[in-house]
Amino acid sequence: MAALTVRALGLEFRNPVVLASGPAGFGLELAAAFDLSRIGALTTKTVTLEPRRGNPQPRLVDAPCGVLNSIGLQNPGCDAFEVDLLPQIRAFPTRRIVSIAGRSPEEVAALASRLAGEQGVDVLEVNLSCPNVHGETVADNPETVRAFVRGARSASTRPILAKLPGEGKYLDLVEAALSAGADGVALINALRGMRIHTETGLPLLDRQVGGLCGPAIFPIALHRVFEARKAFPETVIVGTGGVSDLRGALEMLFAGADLIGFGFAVMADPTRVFRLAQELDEWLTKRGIADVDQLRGASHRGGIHVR
Amino acid sequence: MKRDSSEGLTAAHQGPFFSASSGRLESSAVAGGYARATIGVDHSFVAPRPGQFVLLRLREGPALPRAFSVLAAEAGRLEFLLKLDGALREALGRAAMGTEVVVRGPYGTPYETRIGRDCRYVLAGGGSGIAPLLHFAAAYPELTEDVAFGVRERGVRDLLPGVDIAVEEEGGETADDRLRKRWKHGLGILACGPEPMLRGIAQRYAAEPDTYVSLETRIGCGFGACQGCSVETRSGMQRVCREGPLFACSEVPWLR
Ligand SMILES: Cc1cc2nc3c(=O)[nH]c(=O)nc-3n(C[C@H](O)[C@H](O)[C@H](O)COP(=O)(O)OP(=O)(O)OC[C@H]3O[C@@H](n4cnc5c(N)ncnc54)[C@H](O)[C@@H]3O)c2cc1C
Ligand SMILES: Cc1cc2nc3c(=O)[nH]c(=O)nc-3n(C[C@H](O)[C@H](O)[C@H](O)COP(=O)(O)O)c2cc1C
Repeated sequence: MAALTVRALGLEFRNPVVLASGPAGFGLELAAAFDLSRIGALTTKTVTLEPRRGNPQPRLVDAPCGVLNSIGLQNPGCDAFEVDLLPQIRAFPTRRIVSIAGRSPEEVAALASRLAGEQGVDVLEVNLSCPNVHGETVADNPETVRAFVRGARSASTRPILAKLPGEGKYLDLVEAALSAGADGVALINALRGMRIHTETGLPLLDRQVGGLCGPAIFPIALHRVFEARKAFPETVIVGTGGVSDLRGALEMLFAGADLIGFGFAVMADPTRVFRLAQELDEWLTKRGIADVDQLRGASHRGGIHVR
Repeated sequence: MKRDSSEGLTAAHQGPFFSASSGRLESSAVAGGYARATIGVDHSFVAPRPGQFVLLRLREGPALPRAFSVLAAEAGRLEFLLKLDGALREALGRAAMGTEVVVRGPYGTPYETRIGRDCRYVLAGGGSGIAPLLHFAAAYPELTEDVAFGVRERGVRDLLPGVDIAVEEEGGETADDRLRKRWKHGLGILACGPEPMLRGIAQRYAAEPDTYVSLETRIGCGFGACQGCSVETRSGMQRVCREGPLFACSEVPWLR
């Protein structure tokens, strides 16, 4: 048995497998079918101050090796989250990362402060990269990132992750988030993309754009994580984007991820995600590697040397 | 039959909403733009009830599994009616016998738990929408008054011998035309088919107390978490994969 525990953000995670925000919802359905102690953490669907209905259908459009999503942050709002969902989430036998988003730094601060006193919120993740809501789309400018992260930081002493896009000058955004007080980053959110109906010539999604996720974006996500680790050797990185199997997870660790986010894979093959920590253990054990820590960032220091 | 490892599934939860099996394509017949296909699954796979669906995926097919109603289900065997239009369905239509098909489910609320039980129903099905209705008719003869089925091409009759189906290319008659003839006051309607057909039915029968429509959206996770399939209803956003796929027509006013 290899050691899979990840120490990051002042916490211990049982293993590096993290359910990314969105596809797993609030974890309730998965908790009814799987043993959540097999994963390192669950990230909740993004919560906003007020309830959101999200976007009209279609919300999912097929893409080669993935899907475009346009959910539009549908969620019951912070009141219902605290009253109906958090009591159940609190009881999950895994770490809980609560994703939040607001239209302004003040809204983010308000959310962070509402959740500051709640038990069972191990980490706050500030979603700064949803491609699917009007007027608060991907934060592509460091000033915005800085202001929103400051909002959260001013209101909470919890560890804070900034969920960032993998587009544009993403390293500047990582820098901005960290300098504003984030303890780490989740990289990457879905990438902006579209499809067009071939019989009508019209975009398949109402808002034209959707977030591309799944295996299609894996090499891009991996590169962003690699670059972020190179530029910020000490920060915490949740490497997310298109990881669907053990090989993808290993590559993410080598590139420098501390934790690995699974989004699309939870929709496509949840059983696989819940088996992954065990597969990782077997892989390490077979090679005589005692601790998963030895993999992290290995690509930056000459690879691994197995006996 | 190879069994998909169910490690990670806690014993108490292998059903009713989560069973997975790596199935095999056992038979497939193609006609009129459709395939009738049988997939052998593990005997422990929870049999879908009429109206429920499963997710299918091929190793060499689209990454996101696709949703399919079942035409018939027995222990270890599921039968489907597939319109041969789209990546997975065309691949399945071409696939060799024995091809591995990953099956997960069953998901969705069975039709009979969503509908009133104090009337009998006319089952209105267009194209592959016929599948769940035949499953329903076989399980609940006491709730089935009549059927109003329609397809475009006559070949489909060969796939469903003995089933009363209107064929548009023969006399222009559609499922909708049949419904007009066969429905009378006091009967309910269960409708499943392409959106234009459902719209027509909604326009005419939404005010009737027992009109239900089976909705189709692209399904994401299938188990109710991702909100990819959610639609607006009079009681808020609801998930086609969980509360649905069947909705009272009056609950979805946008369909009209
Ligand atoms: C509860 C439920 C039950 C269902 N049961 C059945 C069933 O029993 N039988 C059945 O056949 N289907 C059924 N479906 C529908 C089926 O799940 C979907 O049609 C699914 O997308 C099929 O996958 P595919 O890969 O074959 O087609 P896809 O590749 O997903 O294509 C779907 C459709 O979109 C079209 N399309 C794709 N891309 C474009 C584009 N760029 N422009 C224009 N058109 C495009 C395709 O031609 C096709 O008509 C069901 C759906 C639900 C929700
Ligand atoms: C259906 C769906 C819903 C999502 N919702 C959110 C969300 O609410 N907040 C968020 O930060 N990211 C959300 N994401 C993005 C994922 O967390 C993830 O960053 C992205 O999909 C890339 O990873 P993947 O390829 O593993 O899915 C969503 C993705 C999908 C597919």
